[in-house]
Amino acid sequence: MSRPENEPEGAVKDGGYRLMLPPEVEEVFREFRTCEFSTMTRDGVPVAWLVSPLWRPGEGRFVLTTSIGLPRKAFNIRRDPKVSLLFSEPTASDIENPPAVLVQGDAEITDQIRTSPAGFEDYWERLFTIQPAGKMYGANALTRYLMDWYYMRLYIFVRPRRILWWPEGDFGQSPNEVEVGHVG
Amino acid sequence: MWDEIEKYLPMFETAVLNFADSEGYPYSIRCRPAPDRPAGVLRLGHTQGNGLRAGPASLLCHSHDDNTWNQKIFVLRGRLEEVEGGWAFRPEKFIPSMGIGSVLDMVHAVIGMRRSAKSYLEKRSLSRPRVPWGEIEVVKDRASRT
Repeated sequence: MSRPENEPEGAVKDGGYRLMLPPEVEEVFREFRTCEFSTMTRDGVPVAWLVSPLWRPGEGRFVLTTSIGLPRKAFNIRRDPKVSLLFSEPTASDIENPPAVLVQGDAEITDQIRTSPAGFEDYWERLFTIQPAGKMYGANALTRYLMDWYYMRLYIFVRPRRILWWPEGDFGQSPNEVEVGHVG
Repeated sequence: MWDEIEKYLPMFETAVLNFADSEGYPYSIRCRPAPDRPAGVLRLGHTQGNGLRAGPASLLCHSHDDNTWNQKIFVLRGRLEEVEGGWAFRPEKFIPSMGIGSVLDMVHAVIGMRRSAKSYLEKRSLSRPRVPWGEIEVVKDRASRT
């Protein structure tokens, strides 16, 4: 199905919706610097890597990116869109005793390689804020030559299907759980 | 592989265990893997009540500082097994990433990413896209002011 003219790839087609989430869960989405993003490999192994996602509550989905210099996540999602995001590393979040939160969901990935931050300035601003040293990529002629691939990005959008959380990050307990009814 | 596991695993208090749930979605929890080299497994603690399923699995160990820098990351691919007295992860492959290995390893990794990007474009007959550095600098400046 083709997109309407002028609609950027990855745009929210239905105007989005707001999930009703426990405030402590949404705080984790907002304040954690990183999460562990799992995709399924060709041979069926779920493998997680560190990412810094942006939660867009008005759209009810996460925005992530991957450089084409690290395309395995993209290949995995194109083959199998089932993914998860575990928020279990609270460093620098300034939340006292946060829950650990697991989001299982369905990912979409763009075919278009974007190099401009246009339309996703919020994502890039957050990334440079939480990782200030990342601003060195492209800061001079040498890094622009060596690291231009860093900005050649595929955009990934994850809609939650099921959200589980462990109060105070205690995985010894059974998690609380909410199914996200609008999916599936 | 076990030499690397025994060298790097103690750098991390916990690891993220990833396995597939009954619907085929990845499911991840934190655990405290304890190496048992003679048995060829990492024994897992604190995993009760979390619906573990035997099968293909991986372990991610990572850390970063308050500025999401000084990252240390490695992944183990293998299998999750139910064993007497609980669960265990049987590693099959050690995959080093940021901060694991020498500076030369890091240089090779960056060169590898540049090659991967080139290959991605070539396989799709795409020309190398231009990066609008001015737009990126505007966002960097805005981030510096927040």
